[in-house]
Amino acid sequence: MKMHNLKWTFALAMSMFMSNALLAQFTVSGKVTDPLDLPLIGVSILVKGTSTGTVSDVDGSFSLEAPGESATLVFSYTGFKTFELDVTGSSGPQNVQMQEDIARLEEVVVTGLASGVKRSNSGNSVASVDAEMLSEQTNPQTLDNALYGKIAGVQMTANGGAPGGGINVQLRGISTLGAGSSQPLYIIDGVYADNSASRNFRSVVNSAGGGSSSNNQDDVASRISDLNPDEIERIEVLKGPSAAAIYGTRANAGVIIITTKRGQAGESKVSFSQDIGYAKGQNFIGFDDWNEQKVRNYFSGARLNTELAALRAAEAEGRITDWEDFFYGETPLLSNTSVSLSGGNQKTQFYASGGFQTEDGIIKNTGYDRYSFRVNLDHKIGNFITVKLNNNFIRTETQRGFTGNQNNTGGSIGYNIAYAPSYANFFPDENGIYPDNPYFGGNPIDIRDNGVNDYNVNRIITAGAVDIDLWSTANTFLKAKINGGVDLVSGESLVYFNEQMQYQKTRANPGDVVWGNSRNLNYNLQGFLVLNSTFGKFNSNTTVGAVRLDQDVNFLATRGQGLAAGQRNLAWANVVTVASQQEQRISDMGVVAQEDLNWDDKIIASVGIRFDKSTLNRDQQKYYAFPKASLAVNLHNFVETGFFDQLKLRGAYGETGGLPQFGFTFEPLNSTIIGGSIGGVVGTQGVDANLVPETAQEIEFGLDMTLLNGRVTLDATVYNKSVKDLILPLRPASSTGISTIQTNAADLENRGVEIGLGFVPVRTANFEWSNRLLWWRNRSEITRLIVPQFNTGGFGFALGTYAIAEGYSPTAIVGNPDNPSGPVRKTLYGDRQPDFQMSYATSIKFLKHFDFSALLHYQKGGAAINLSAYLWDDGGTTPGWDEDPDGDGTFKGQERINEAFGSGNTGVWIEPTDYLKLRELGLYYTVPSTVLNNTGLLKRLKLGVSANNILLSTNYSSYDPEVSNFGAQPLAGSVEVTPYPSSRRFFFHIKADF
Amino acid sequence: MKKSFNYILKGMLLVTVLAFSSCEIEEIVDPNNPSVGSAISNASFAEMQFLITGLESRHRSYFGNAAQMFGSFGREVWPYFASDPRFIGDWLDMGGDGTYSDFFGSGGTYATPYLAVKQANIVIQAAENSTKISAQQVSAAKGIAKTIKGYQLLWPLMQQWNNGIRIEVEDPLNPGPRVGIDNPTEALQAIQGVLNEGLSDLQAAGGTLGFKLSVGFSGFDTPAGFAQVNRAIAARVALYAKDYAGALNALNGSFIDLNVDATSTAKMQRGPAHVYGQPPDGENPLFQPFDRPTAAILICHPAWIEDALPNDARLNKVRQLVTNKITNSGLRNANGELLVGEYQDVRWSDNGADIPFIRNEELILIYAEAQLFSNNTTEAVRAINIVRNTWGVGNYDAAGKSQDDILEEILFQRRYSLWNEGGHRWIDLRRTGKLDAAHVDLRDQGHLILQVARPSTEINWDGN
Repeated sequence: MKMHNLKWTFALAMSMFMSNALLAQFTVSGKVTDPLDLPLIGVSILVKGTSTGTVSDVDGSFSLEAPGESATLVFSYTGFKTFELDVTGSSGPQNVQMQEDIARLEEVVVTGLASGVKRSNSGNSVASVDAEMLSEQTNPQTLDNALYGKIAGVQMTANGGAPGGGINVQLRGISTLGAGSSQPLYIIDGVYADNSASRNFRSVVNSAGGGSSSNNQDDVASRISDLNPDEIERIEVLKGPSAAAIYGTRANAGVIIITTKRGQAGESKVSFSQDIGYAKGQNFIGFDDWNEQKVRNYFSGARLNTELAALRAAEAEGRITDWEDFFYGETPLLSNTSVSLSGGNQKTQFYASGGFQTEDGIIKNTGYDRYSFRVNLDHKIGNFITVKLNNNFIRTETQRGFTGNQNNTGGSIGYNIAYAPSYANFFPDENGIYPDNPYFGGNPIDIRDNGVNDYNVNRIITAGAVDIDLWSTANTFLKAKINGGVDLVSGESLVYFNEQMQYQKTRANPGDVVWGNSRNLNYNLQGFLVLNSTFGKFNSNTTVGAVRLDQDVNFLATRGQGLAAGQRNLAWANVVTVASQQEQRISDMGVVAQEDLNWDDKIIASVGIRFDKSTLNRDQQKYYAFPKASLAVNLHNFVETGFFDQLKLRGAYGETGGLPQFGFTFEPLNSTIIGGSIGGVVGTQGVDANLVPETAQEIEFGLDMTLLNGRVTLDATVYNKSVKDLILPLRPASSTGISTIQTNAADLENRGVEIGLGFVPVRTANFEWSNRLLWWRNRSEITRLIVPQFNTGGFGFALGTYAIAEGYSPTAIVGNPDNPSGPVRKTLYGDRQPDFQMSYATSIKFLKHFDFSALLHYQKGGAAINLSAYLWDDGGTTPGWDEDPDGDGTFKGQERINEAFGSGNTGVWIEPTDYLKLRELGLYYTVPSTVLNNTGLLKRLKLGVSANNILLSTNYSSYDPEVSNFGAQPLAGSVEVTPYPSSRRFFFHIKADF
Repeated sequence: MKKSFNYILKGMLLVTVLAFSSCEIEEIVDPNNPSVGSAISNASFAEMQFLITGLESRHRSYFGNAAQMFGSFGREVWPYFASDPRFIGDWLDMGGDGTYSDFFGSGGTYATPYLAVKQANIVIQAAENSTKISAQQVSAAKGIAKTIKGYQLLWPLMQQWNNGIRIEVEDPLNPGPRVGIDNPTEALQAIQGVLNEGLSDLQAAGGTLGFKLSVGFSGFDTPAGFAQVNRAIAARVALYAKDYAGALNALNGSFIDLNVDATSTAKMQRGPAHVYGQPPDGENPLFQPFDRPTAAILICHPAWIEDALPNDARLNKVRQLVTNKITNSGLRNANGELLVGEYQDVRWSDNGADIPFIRNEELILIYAEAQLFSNNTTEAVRAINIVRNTWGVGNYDAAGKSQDDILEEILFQRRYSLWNEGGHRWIDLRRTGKLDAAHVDLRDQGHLILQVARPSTEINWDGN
């Protein structure tokens, strides 16, 4: 049956070619250049209404055979305005100068699962980042990291500065209070990508518990960081439900659509790029050097004499050490190599690339390596069928070491050195024996040298798409679009403390290892029919289709304790236990219909609806509806003023969903072992029989304006995103033995403004200066709460936590003392969410061959819980700890502790997070083609230097104001506990095209 | 041409339809665990066994926190736990500001015992709903569950004291009222009621329990044996409620054995125990290898050593550290000098050692106290001397001693006999009105805590 159809397809295709060949035709040739008269290579030139075409060569020249007597040629090239040219058989050579599409009005943006519109016709605010902004200015640490400051409406916090990243991304404020997915949905070339953070049980081995979400103190990277930024062509961000409604039930936290690079017809191109650089720890606190007076100030009694002796010994041996500098002071090498090959002809295009990134951390024995291979293919079968295939294999190897929180185990460098005086002796002796740390539970040098915290990932992302022209007439076409893909992530973690380590020696079974294996498989498929009709000045585009997503997760972590000397294989463990085994199977199913209407590019309207069901819901077979509608009015197309390139008013409404987490609808017995028998204990989670998914509704209005030939652009958006039926743990009285019942208990509202202003004040052949200013703010408020107000995140009231209370922001930080009128009857100290954020990007092209760019990011307001400062005060390491400016006989450091715990003022540890960061800086020189032509080999050579995180100006008293101990979750962020310090990164770049 | 087009169209539509023919998604049930619902609908014997083993597991979980926190409140021990200064700052109440809602590190003696209560309630519900086990097995299961439930309710009450506690907690959305507000005796009586019901159930359970218990209950793993445990707990509850006749009555049904001397010290240890083992079993929460360089260790309070009578064999419960004496910057004397931790608990052979949760030695001392307040001073002194002579400190000279003097002696013996077994000292001093600086050494400059503030979930629920 299928073979039969295929034969017919070929027959049909052949007959079309045959008949074409019999008609009259003529030759058109010419050259395409940019506004500076430089040749444009790879411009697509098509005869309008046909599939006949070519691409410009290395000199910008082209030549093609056009059918008939006259034709219209359509010139298109990414980043330039599409240009149409009427030619006849008598036209001579054509010189075409294409104009840059500075405002990117012609860029096609996503509006549906099988449709898109030109940016100038979009009814939504659209945010996109292209390859140039993403990875060509400087070398980002990870993909998610590269987005910050480049899109309005985004807030990000890192787990710390460890190699391999780990970022919490919030689009337009908080969209779940913990039940749904807090992170945006990532779609890579149509594949639902896995962005989970699998556990590695680091927090079990080093007891980084306490806190209200101990699961998330593993300090693992979210998996989106696996992607190689160099392979990405474009990232489009659907920030809120009004745009993301097309993704329905999983889109409450927004959608990030990633498109990878593809080949273009034309001469084959080999590109090579090498970035090489180094990193330096940023914003060190500067621990005190301890002298005799300080020792006397901190220690007393019998201990004082021991410490004085230790100080003298260290001084005699010249062993006084700045521990911060000692541990975080490495200058690691960073290298990123990438080779790509692309090209093809009208029928087949390919893009293949290989990349290798290797980075060591500013702490010894930490680092990150990424190997990535990609092949993307496009092929046309006959005139009707287009096939796209993407294949990507990635391997990442991460060594993150031990920083951040711990309990008793000493399993954190930062925690240990908070208590380490400068004369402490942690150095191994000649036999390699590490002395015990008398100030805390572990020897930090031992932890650094011998602690293992590795995570390796092998990942395959593969996608396929088929577009079939089923039927077409002059005014109408019908297409089928089918695409699907697989994301298979296989993770292996290893966390290991050997039996000689200080804390291990105190255990009944010294030596602790956890081996983790996770296998996450996502596979999705969608099929759509697209019917497009033009009636006079009206165009209608109708899409209907269905989507399906399946997820299958298997996770097993096995722990061995009581290890034989130097062994980490489980066979050498005295006690082997299953730390966790989890199996998850999830299926989602949706049907979608959408109608887009366009009246002469003047008024563009779109309505759509999606119905989704998911096995994560309590009612697994129930469909939930997610409608959307948008309207764009291009005022400039009504009255030709010549002043506006664009003046558009737009409005959009949409709804999305947030699914309960796997397991929320189950009431399990948990296994327990006692005295050689296995028993079942009732869990602490109850189930609400009426649980429904969270739904977000967003309405946004905006104005897009482009004037002075694209020299000035302004886009402004206001939105109101309200999330209903937020799933929250109802917390029955703890005496009932049930600690949580997940229930639809709250609504919240996010209101915000996003403004983008672009201006190009100077634009000459030798000098072009362009600027982009973004400003955004978001306000969140819990508007309804039917469960008792409660606190969440952090380490309880005494150390600062978050309040969930009606009328307050869900990221409100509270602490002691009691305040009857405050949220959860505690004192309100601030909000994690900043007042506003602002970024400024500038780029200058000068002397024809130089490019300079910079990105500044400013955050006003916001607060974080700085528990590093608390530990430093407790350990006496804070700079100036024993100063006594008020002369009351109590040292400054001790005073803060007294105030926090004696007077019960938690505010001591809660600090504002205003900052100004110079995130990126780049200077590139493109070697003139006149020079390169002499080599005969190189087509393009670009050299440059760049840096990121160069400058940080903040009053925040730790390494970085945007860091979190609790990983990627909506609420509990911005609590820091001696994290891996952030670093500055400096690079030298070579990019060459052959 | 037209025909071929139709074929293509149909073919492609077919592909699309095929792709989504599986529009129906398969219902997913929890692939990882059995559900509570199936266990309480009509449990099989195996499922009942499974729940009872689970109950025994929940039953042991409170102990570490009781020993560490209550022990610190009564200065039996000092918590040298370096990772969080609140162990010392809050537990020893350095600021003198008492406790607060969700008091640091207090869940182990509140939420944790209530998990055991929850499990016991599920066992009772499952037994009542099961048609697959015999009527005697139903009674046995309920008897075990109510006995353990009664014992577990004692822990939140000990922590909350005058705040009272909830007794009826079967329905998480409709918990019963607090019982015993400003009158702990009322709560103790309610607990006694649960224990009495358990006793009746055990008496209806026939000759065997039917269900397997851990070796911690060996010797008590029949309905009659378990009833002795039930009565021992009832004796403790009655003593706390100052119901001395009730205590003596309960002791009669318990496993009390007054026939103990220095040659038979093992008899003092007899009693049901929490069992521990290597992971994945739970580890003995008090065991730590001796004299290791740790930053977290429970240390015997020096006053316990200093105040001891000469030659008291009970001092062997601890051993002086040699190389790893410990200090903590939060723990200082009045001169600001660091207090050195010197004596480690060495009662446990390894991390799998059992911990008895009610022992003959305590029953003898309950007997002494109940006799004292039943005006049988002679019998009280005889019981005191059984304990004293067992440990080699000779007879008590009761001549000219008042009732309160003898109570002091009993409390003194309890201090040494029951040291670090879940905070007896603090509980004893409070129930006898002696929780003051005269009875507790406060060289650490801390303060005495009477009780722990109510957890916020409780306050919030009532305020709801």
